[in-house]
Amino acid sequence: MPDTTRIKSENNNLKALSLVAFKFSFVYALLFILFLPFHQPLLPNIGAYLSPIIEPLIAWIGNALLGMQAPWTVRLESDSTGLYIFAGLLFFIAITAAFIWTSLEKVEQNYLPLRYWFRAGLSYFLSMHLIVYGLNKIFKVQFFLPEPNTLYTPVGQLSHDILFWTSMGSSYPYTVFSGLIELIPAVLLLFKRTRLLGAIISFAVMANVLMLNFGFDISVKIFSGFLLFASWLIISPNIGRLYQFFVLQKVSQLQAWRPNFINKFQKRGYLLSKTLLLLLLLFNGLLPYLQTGVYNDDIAPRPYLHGAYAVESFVINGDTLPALQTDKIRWQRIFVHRRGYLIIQNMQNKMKDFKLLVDKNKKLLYLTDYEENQYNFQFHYQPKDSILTLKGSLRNNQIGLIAKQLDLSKLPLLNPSFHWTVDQLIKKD
Amino acid sequence: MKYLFILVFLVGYLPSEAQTKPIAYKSHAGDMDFFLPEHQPEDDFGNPPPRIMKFVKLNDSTVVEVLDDWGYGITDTVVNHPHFSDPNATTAEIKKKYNYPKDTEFIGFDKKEKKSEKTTIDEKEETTPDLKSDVKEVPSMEGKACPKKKVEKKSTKKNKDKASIIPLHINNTPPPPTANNVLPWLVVATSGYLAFLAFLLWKRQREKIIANA
Repeated sequence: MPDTTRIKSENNNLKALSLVAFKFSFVYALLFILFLPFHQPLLPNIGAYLSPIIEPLIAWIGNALLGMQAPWTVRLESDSTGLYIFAGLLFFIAITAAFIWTSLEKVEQNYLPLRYWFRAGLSYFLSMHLIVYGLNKIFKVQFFLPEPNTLYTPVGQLSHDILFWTSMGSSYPYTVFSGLIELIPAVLLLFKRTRLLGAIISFAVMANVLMLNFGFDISVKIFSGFLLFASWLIISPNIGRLYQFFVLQKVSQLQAWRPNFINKFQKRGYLLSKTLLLLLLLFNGLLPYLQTGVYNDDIAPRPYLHGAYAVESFVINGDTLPALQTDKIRWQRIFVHRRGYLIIQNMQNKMKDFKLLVDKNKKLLYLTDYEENQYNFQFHYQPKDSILTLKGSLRNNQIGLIAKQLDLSKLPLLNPSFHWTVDQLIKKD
Repeated sequence: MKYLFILVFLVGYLPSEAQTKPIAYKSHAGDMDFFLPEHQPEDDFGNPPPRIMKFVKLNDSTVVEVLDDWGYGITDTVVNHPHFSDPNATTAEIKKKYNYPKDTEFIGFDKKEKKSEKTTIDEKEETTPDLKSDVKEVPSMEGKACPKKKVEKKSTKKNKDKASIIPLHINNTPPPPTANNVLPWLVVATSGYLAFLAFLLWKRQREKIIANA
């Protein structure tokens, strides 16, 4: 085969592959974005209305085709079985739709404008999520300060995800930094000139997030995978040119097609709609913080009695139990969680949680267990010496205890110490 | 009681930690034997979306959705909500079909509203009779008291009336016995179909390019 014919044939193959990939990814990404319910503070949650249309089909695939055993979650939410089936189902739908699309075309279309607007839309979508996630980190809401019960759980007993959350939550500077490196590409993605740079940074960021989710078994695997895929779709038309520039070190020009607004009204309309969109995205991310006024969750007020308490005296059915490591009945510590839970830790570090309501006026704690049995405890708290006394009945046992609140700030993990040199670690008398 | 509600409100008002459902659950040392994602607050994708507190039916096509974004309330009027397309569907049927949390209120959906609300927990029991042999009852999110004996008694009675309703999220009918044997073939057939379709697609696209050239 002569060289020119071979090159021409290879070019045709590549061009066909590129068009097929575009059509497939266009349908896949569009359907994924539209059908996935994702609450945004300000923007509408379209997926909440569309997902019920596809959920019966997912339920049928799971039950009838895959023979799934109950319980399993059909609803499209983070890493639910339903979401995995949905992601797989979209492969089918997207490839079939791309096939029909190609079959219906009589002549080859110019896809440059559609490709441009698809990538622009995808950039805004990606940016919206990076802004929300970035601000969640910057304001310390995502990686919150570890709860008292987590702080007193032996590390070996923590699972990967909560351990990762705890490590991140214990470092304010790194959490803020990780938020910034999401916010920077989010801003770059919003403008034509910086879109590619933003997509490259977001690709690196999302690849790291995806690996964290896999490495630490965090249940946002599919969605972070999709955000990585979206970053790739924005970069992909320029891969050849990036290769030329960075590897072959040849002068390269980036993607050429851009919308050309002919008259003043079109230009102004574009500028106005873009400005509104940018403001919408910004307020969408900021709204929860503007409403609550909390810009650092670490120092946000905690509920009454929140903290860890070391049990100093424990009486059960009239017997005072000594603090022996082998005792399974005696309580070692109790914790009050910020979301309204009371957690008991026995002498062998086993924990048991109860839903908690506090009636400060009647000095009563209402505990509810998993079987929805309710137990009432009378409490007395002396803030002066941080002593908490409890008296009540739990599963037909009369319990009375005296506990002292522990100072969490003295724990090494919450100690904001920083050392430039190793010498600073040397203890001095 | 005033203080009780103030405290509950205060806890709710604090910005929620964004986290995944398993992390939210593990953060309060939740017992994993009782973990069911659909019963957890909507801390989804590591973000804190709002919880649906109630639906108020205005007429057959319009409902008002009241959301609580862990502190601030949001109301939204929704026309032709797909979950409420059947005007005769009862609260119990809607809750069961779309798996709403048991504390979600439905106002104006059926005449016997109070009865429906009371049986909410029973419905969950009906849909999940064999989740785990040791699970007696699903955990409450709001800590409402509900004596266990009463629940078991009621759920037996209700099972007879509600047997015809098929829950969306859980399959009560046993899967076909050969399902596990079919699965590998299904994967192979699916992959083959996708590969074949992709090849055809590429070929057709290529022909078009050549024809245009």
